[in-house]
Amino acid sequence: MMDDERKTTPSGGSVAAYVGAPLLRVWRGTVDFAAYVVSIVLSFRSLRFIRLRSISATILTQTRFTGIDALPFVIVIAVLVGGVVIIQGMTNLPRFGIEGYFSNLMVIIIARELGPLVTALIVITRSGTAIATEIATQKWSREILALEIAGIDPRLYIVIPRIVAFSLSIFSLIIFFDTAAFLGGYLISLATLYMPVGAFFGNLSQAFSMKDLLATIVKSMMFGVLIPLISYYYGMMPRSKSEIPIYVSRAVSRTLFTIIVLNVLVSALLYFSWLE
Amino acid sequence: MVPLLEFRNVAVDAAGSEPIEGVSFAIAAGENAVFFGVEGSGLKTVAPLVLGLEEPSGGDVLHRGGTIRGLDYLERLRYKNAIGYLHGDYGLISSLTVEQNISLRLEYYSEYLPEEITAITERLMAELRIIDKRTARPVQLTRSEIFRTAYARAVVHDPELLIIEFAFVDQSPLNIRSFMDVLKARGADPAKSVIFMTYEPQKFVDFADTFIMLYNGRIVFSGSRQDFFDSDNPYLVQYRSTSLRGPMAIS
Repeated sequence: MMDDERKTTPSGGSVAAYVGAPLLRVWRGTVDFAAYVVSIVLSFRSLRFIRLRSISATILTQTRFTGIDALPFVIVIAVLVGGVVIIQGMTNLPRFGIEGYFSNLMVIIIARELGPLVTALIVITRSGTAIATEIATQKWSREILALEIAGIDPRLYIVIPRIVAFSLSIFSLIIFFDTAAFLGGYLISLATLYMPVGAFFGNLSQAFSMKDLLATIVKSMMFGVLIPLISYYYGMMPRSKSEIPIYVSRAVSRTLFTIIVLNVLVSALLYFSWLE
Repeated sequence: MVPLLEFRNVAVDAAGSEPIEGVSFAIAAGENAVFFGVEGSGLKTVAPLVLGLEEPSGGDVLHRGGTIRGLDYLERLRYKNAIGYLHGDYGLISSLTVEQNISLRLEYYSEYLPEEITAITERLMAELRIIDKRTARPVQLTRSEIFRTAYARAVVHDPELLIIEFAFVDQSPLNIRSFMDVLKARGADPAKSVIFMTYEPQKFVDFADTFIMLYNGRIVFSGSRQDFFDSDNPYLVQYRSTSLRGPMAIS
């Protein structure tokens, strides 16, 4: 084999390295994240020493920022998403002769999937980035060190109030999202076609099941735990100021990916007929 | 009598730390000490060792005669409650007010009632002349106010040992006058000790009983206030005279 040819043709070893190196990185990252989660769980042992008064203010502040402050934005997005789904549903389903399933389809698309997912996306972009940036800045200005020296476990002091606040906020926001999507979507759809309000909401309520409520609770709990966990993890990563944007961006992309994968898994577990 | 803090032949060779080797000293309760030396002398390794943020690779760090290695959660909490720490970055929590920064430690795990915590915090803020800033956040404070708030936070739990590490950098002497009076009172308390880490040991001659100088990770001078002025130790002589000539190679 000529020298030039050897340079351009990957050998077996280099192909393995090409494929293996990223896999190894993912594996190491997963192991490191798992160790971090275990350390958080182990730190729960010291919860009994903590006075609730020290974290109650943080829970309130985070609930206000993540839940209440995000509400107008969530409602606007929900109305627009709901409008699009309703318009598409009401104009296209009759062509296939399945307009009778319109309400079921609404529940399936909006309540089961879009509500939790879009709400989580909004929370990640607003509050996930805020946590990662705040932690990275606090680490840089040695605020985290000050907490540790004072005997305050930063994992508990920072993560626990946010998990509580995020779970509550996401659950509430999903309920608001679904309501606004159905209500606002119906109003928007009136501009293009008419459907009696009683029939619309009557059919919707019939299409809802306890499983949908369970899915909403499970997803909001999972997202409420994971968004602060992943954001804190990446917020603690930067070793210099210049690395802060890199890890904040990584926090957002990894959280988005994890949330979307878990959303699929939960939906599959809850709604696949062979599990019923 | 068992020393409050003791280093026995302590060594650190971890990457990212200033190495030290064979460092031994003892600080009694009520004794105030100044650690000084040139950059890279190992000075910045001492506080992390005392605070338990770093493990020695050799030797032992003892608090009241007991090693601080392998403490369980509750023991470590008790040990941390014996220490106050004030560093040059101050590290005030930016989202909390002056009052919340000071009281956080007591709010977090102390047995104090809320009104007791308020009373302790108010007394400290009054002593340090920052009571009118109680609702201000760190970003709204002057540098000396940040310093005084960080000091109040470091002593709010009334520790027996206070470590002040490079905290006087860029401070106007007049603006921290009230702080110096408070510090003098603490320095005179026979049950409490203060350790200063500094490049300017002469600033603390009114407070300190013991002066310890490090160079290349080893103690090259240790003596009383009088020794600090009178000793002809060549390292100390070079340091006092800020001369580039002497046993220390200065880059």
